[in-house]
Amino acid sequence: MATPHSTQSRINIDFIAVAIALTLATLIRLNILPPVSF
Amino acid sequence: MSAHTIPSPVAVKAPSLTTRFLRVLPGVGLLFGIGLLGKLLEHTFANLRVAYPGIPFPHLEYVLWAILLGLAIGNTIGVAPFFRTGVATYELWLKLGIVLVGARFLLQDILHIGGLSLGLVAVELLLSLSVMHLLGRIFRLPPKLTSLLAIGSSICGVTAIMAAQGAIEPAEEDTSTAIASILTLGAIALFTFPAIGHMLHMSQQGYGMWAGLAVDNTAESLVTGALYGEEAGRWTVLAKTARSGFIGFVVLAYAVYWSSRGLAPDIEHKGVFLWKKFPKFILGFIALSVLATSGFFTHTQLTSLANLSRWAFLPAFAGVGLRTNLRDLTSQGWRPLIVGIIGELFIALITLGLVYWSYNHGVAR
Repeated sequence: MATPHSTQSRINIDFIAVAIALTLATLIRLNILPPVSF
Repeated sequence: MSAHTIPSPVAVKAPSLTTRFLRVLPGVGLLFGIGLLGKLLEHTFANLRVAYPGIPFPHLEYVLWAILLGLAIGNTIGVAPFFRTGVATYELWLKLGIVLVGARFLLQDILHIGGLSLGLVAVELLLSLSVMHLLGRIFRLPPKLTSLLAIGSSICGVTAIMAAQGAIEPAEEDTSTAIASILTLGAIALFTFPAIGHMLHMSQQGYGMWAGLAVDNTAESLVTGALYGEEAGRWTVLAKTARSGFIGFVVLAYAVYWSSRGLAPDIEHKGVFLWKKFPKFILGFIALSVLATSGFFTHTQLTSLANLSRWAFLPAFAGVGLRTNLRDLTSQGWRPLIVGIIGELFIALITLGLVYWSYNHGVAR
């Protein structure tokens, strides 16, 4: 079964996810990060 | 003097950032390893099908490979404690993927389809809450367990149940049972929804909306959508995100109800409560969509962001497989599971009908 995560950690994870996403978007916009393929 | 003495407090030093980083590395490596192996298997079998057209090699996408590999490991040898901290980061990868997908939606799409999903979500919410309470009464489940099942099935599964835990103070076993039921039903949806979608020849958008509305837990919902196709996965994210936005309101309503009966603490500041329970990653999703709509990124940069979201979903999908315990199917007692199955079946049928009606009456594009 999944380990229940606390509401507090959920909020932290949300902010971390947003921060990482916006940082990556900025790096891509400034062409610091090369084009990403999948 | 008493024989029992109070031990002097010992200062426990919190692990440093480096230590915490090193602790998550093995599990993160496992998640990416499984995801990459899934990609490799998809690629290898695609090449083999071309080279040997007479042999029926499996035709599975990396999403399903990642889940199957995760399920196989998690339910046979299990996840060693060494990996567990890192495997738990699957939720971070999932949310990172959702935020990055925001760049693939124009704001107009969000307003149009998001508006449609909000309408469908409102109907789904009312119906699922009513049905779960009715079933809870028929099967004589403890009232707070019924509340948890109703919250979990109407909003976003485990996150909603955990958000409600502090607010309505249920018994610990009620929380575990509700979580196990929701995860079990999510695992069943992974394998049944794509088959139903193909059987009914559903469009990518229609199926995606259905998966987002009917499958409760965010991770399982997104995987169920992605298993039907990438386009479907994108629409699942939108429908699921619209649904998750209601979490604060539903949990607040239950908290006020149980508090009015003297069985839960009072809510003093309702606005603060709503903000605390609101899933903040939705704000990041909208922010990236606004930036994409305003022409902030070039076409190549948008492609890069889309690919980054796929990279983020890769370990998240592996994590869903790893943490799905098939033994939970039978270990939680039959009554909550029966209530869950009947309720979810009803919700799946109603949402399927709603989506079908919307897409055949020109409401959706």
